[in-house]
Amino acid sequence: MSEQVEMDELAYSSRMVNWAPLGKLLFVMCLLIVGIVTDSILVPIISFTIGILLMAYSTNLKLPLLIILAIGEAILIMVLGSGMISILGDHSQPAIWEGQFLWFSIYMTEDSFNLAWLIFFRAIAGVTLMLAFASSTPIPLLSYALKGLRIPNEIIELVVLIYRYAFLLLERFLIMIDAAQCRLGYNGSMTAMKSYAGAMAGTFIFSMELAEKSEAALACRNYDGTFPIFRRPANMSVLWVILSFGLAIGLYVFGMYTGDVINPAKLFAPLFGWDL
Amino acid sequence: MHIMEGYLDPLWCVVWFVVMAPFFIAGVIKLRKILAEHPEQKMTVALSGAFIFLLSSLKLPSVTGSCSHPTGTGIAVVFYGVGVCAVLSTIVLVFQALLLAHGGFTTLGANCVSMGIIGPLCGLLLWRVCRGAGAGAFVSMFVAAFIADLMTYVVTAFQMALNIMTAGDGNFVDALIDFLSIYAVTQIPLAIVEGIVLGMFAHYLFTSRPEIFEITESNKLNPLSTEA
Repeated sequence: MSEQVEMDELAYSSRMVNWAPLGKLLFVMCLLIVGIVTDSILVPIISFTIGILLMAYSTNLKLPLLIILAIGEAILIMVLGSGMISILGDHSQPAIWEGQFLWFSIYMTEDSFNLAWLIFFRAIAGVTLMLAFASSTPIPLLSYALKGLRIPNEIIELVVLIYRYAFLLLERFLIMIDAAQCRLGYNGSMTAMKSYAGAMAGTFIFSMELAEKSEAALACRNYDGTFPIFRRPANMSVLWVILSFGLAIGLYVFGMYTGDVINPAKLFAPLFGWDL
Repeated sequence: MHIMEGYLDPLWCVVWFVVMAPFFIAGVIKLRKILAEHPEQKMTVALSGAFIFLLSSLKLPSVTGSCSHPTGTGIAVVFYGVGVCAVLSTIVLVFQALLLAHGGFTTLGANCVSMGIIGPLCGLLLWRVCRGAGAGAFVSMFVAAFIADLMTYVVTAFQMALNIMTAGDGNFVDALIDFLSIYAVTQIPLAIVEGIVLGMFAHYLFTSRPEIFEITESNKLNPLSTEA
């Protein structure tokens, strides 16, 4: 959860913070969608490269360790997920690897192996693109920009409130976790479960008290459902629309002609001794 | 349990968004009514969302292209019903995708259906059954949170097995068994812990501030209900 705090600091100090939030969102969404509608592995690789370059520019190559760990954890999940896809192949096709591991029946085919790589690159491209967006767009600026999309005010207000309260709850939760640790609260699985349960219950109870105090505090400041922003984010220009749709269409066409250019199974065949 | 970005076929991304849409719209309408009639509930609704965010961010990698964590939706669904829970879950899922690289935009519909709609709906149903049978707040909330959590993972496994069937021509039953059995290792203990924690919480609230539970009586089981 501390990644959230790091990400917030990163977003406010980003070199792309003044770019139009909706423009960045449209750009990222176009690349994410084109990534899943094409079968060429090159398209997500290009999207991944764009995501990495944007993230590097946004953060000036200064990614905090916590964010790097979060990305590493996401990649681990992707590797495991892609691995699952690769071993659940179609039984009507010849297997390049077949066997049994615990309760898993492994049936890897050339197609399932290639699909696993495609999905891995789609996922990793998605993470870099979303992080490039998140590391350059503070949530309050994004929620302000969302008003332009006619999203109900109540939802926008909730987005801001949930975001702000998440920090407060996180702070309280970490204090309780630390306090439990000081009392050897993680000595043994049963004790750990009780400490964990106590911290969560305590955090919610604290949150109810916080809700009452916040209501009074906001009312004292004439809160009428909107949080003022002193530096308003830029509006999305036509250039963003042209750039986003142009790149998406270009990548889609590129993907149509490069679907079979890279065959990961054939690349790895000599290494694993597969006869393809 | 969030399915990662890029994992689902475009077909399933669209299907799950279509499934999610009516519940989300009903939730927004209900939320607007709640906030108009009970403005004092605004902070509590927001904090329920923040609490879902906090709990569901405590994740453990699971060998499925997904991960395991408490869902935290049990409380929100009992207080505000399925529609509002779907709205809160959607907001939380967007935050998690952006800030924690957890889940994704194209898989948002699928993740919302599992964590924000079907899981909580089952939880609410069990809450009603237990309360109707005269069970206490602890037992009722334990059962509701436990089932909401478990059903979330059952639905996620179902969604991923469907995707395996159409994307890779894999066997649906084999894939479903594999996904369910892996989730079970991490999720059953987590669901029990979540049930105990939320049960303790409900018991505390029921003894210290029973008036908060009055709002739960007006919740309709119909997930598309917009009555506040």
